[in-house]
Amino acid sequence: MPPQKTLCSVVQPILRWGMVLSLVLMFFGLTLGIFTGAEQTSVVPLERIPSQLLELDPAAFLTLGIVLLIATPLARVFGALCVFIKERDRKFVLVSLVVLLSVTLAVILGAA
Amino acid sequence: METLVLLLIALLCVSAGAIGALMGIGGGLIIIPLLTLGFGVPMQEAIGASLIGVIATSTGAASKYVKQGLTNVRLALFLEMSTTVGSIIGALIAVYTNQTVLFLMFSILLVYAGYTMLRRTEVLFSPEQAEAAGQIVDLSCQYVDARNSCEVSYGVKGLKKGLAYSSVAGMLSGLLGVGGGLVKVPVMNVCMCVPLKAAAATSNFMIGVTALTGAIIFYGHGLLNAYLCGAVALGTFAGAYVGTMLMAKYSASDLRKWFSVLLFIVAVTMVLKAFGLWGGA
Repeated sequence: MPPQKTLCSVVQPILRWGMVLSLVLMFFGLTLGIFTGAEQTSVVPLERIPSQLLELDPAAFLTLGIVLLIATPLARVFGALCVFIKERDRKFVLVSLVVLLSVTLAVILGAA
Repeated sequence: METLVLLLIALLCVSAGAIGALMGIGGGLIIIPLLTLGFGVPMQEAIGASLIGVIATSTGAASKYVKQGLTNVRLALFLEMSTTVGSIIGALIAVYTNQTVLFLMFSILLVYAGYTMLRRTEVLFSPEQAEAAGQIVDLSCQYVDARNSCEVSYGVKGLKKGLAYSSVAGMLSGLLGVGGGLVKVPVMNVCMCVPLKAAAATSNFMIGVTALTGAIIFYGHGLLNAYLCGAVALGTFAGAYVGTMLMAKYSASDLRKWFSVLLFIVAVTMVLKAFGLWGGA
């Protein structure tokens, strides 16, 4: 398979599944919220998501959808990195690592 | 927030997603004023929801564009190096700069980019030419234009220049919170000879990573309104889908004209913003 095709065959499913899963979760969360008239509107912290999902809290479903959505672009950089490592494309392994590192740096600086 | 308001926001965000997917921009330019001016949402909540909307536009459109070969994944990663570093620098120096002057300078830059795109016609740089130029990395790519089923193979020119200009694009988005895509598309199209449709798809793809850092920070601080984000994301997802359909319908030269018009409109809103007359400068 030509390099462009291999890359797409890895990146595309990541994007598609990220989209579908977050779409379903957010739609469910919104519908549930509208019917139950929940009060909490802000996002749920990561560690509380599982327990609040079990309580059928709409905000937890929405938050999980949002988290998956945020994780999708990051996952596709990881996916591309794996393809480049497998193909021994050193230059692009470096490129992907620089992108991941600068995203991490931006988050650390922004949180401080 | 009331159900009807959320529904209306989702519906209006369809346009932001469609324009974002078609033009390769984030859509924050539309979402933020829509929420603040139209629905009285506080600025911080609006920015948070807009970041989520931008990621939704990028992911939704890219899942189609990557399949069609319109997104040049290597080029995207290559330029993401400098946009992310640029946005960090921009955010760090934002505190020390005069926003009014920046907005005015940015609007001049947009008018210049729009004028260049209107005046010049698209030049194709072939993969062979790119190979002969002996660049540091090979970014050549091909796609099938859904409008006329023609296969387009292209090489990418001026990598160093592109890298430098995209760091400026990143810096501007870090400084002003807008404008990554508006600069990246003309840079790719005019300076790097990437066909407009591929440039828009690639820029749209890149924006997901740019918005990601902001979104993580907002989430960490609990600044996202879950319902608002959900409504905006659902609307922009649908819009992104519409945008990809429109992309297949129109010719690159039409899109190029619209992009210039978009640049002029944004330039005007930036001037308004500089004087505090638009969506909270």
